[in-house]
Amino acid sequence: MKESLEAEFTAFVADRGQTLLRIAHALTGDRGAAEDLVQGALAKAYARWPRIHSDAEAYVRKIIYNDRVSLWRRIGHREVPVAEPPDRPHARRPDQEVADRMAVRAALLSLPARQRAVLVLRYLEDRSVEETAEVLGCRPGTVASQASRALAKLRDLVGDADERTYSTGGLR
Amino acid sequence: MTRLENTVRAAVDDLAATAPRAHDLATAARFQGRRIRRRRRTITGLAAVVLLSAVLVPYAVVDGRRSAPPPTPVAPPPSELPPAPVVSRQWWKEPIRLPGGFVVTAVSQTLERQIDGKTGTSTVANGNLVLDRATGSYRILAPRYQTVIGAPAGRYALVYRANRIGIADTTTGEVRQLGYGPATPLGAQWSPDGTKLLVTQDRGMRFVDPATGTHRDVDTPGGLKECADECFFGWLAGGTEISLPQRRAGSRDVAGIQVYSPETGAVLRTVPFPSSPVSGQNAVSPDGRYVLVDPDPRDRTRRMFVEAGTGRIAGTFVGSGQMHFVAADLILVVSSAEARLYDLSGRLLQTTQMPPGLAGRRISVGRL
Repeated sequence: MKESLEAEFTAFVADRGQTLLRIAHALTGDRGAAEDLVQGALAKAYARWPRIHSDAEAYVRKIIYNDRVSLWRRIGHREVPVAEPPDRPHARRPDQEVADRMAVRAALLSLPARQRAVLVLRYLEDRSVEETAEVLGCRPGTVASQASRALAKLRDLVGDADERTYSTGGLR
Repeated sequence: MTRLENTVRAAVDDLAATAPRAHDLATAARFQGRRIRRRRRTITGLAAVVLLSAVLVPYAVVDGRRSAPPPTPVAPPPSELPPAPVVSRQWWKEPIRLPGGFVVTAVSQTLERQIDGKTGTSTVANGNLVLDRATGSYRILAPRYQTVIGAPAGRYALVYRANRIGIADTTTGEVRQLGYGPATPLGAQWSPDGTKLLVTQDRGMRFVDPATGTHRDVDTPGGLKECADECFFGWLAGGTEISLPQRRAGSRDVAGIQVYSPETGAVLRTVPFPSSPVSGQNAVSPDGRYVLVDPDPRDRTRRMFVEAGTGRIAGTFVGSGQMHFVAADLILVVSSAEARLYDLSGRLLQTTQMPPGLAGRRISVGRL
């Protein structure tokens, strides 16, 4: 590969590597798996760099999402059951939001990879339904149904603060 | 947006915020990317290679067009070798013996477990295995390591994960994590006697004592600047000298190797090699005469052996698998399907079938 393209690849990784790791960590919840995912995607990008360098970030992101989903499918994963559902908060406390986030974070990691990918694209990257569908290579309707199912499952697991009745506590 | 959605957004942000810091992603990606390109090109040309091989010889040849006269074979005829080992059904309970007196010292876990190692229980059929030479059986290591590389001798093995290395004591299974490592497992190489680990660092060589985890750095200013594509320090015969491939100025072509003193880092000499030495264990004949090299990084089915002192091409092997010098005149070619022993003229001497459970996994070999 030409030296200018090599330099461009190095600069791209230096500039965007941390952002890509953030996405991968949100998808996997595991530091090593996140590094593996990004490294694998960057390697594929490097192998095709002369062709894809003008739109490298979109290419790498697409690989990250799709590799995660396809690996999940290939090795026969199904939904990971949560042995002990996160505690449903019964009372609103000053640290309730933190507790909610922790509970949702744990529940997120129990979702199937495709549903988690949809949530990461929608809520971390603020992608529209159409953009999410484009990245994942599916129809917008599939994205909407996956997102809806994922949120329903999270609601089942941790409850929805909007619907919660607060029985005790001075914040009422 | 509901409060649940807001909480999801915050939770996803939390997860993203706790991502590891990027550490030399470009180097590792570049290395893997080159392998992908090579594989693609190899697959493209595979049909032609297969046809050519079928016409020429069954498996291995000495290429007379580009090389010096082939070395006179001094290996014993097959009838005088000990019988080729046969691997037992319960192979994990005893050392897997290979032709040439070598054994399998470590087996890395399957690709699926490398990528998602927390699924299910590690077994001998899928996990990271190291040979405990004291008991003669294989020990299963934790699935968190991508790769395990057994030392050619002694009680230690290298474990590798996310650009960090650790030293496993094969007699106890305990792992000492070291807070550093090369961008690829090939950047760490055991000395022939297994008592030192050589790690390629940004500034030079690092020698790690596996027994204590301590290290000694030897800087080689300038050496890495003109390094060839596969830029790794490697042991030469007897573990008394170190090689580093160099490229021609302004070119990607390999010009030769620089030979370093492991004590001082001084350049002892430069030898005009036709390509980079093979990165891995046992790439040098025990008598120091020959070194295995990669003649064409795009074609992993060919290896040459060259004279260590002059770089003169002595022969070419064709075939897939990791190649190891097991004696001055014997080369063992190891794949996850079988191990084949050749003499330097390319004559196949013996074959041992590997256990079916090793398919597709990285295998280390060495002495018992």
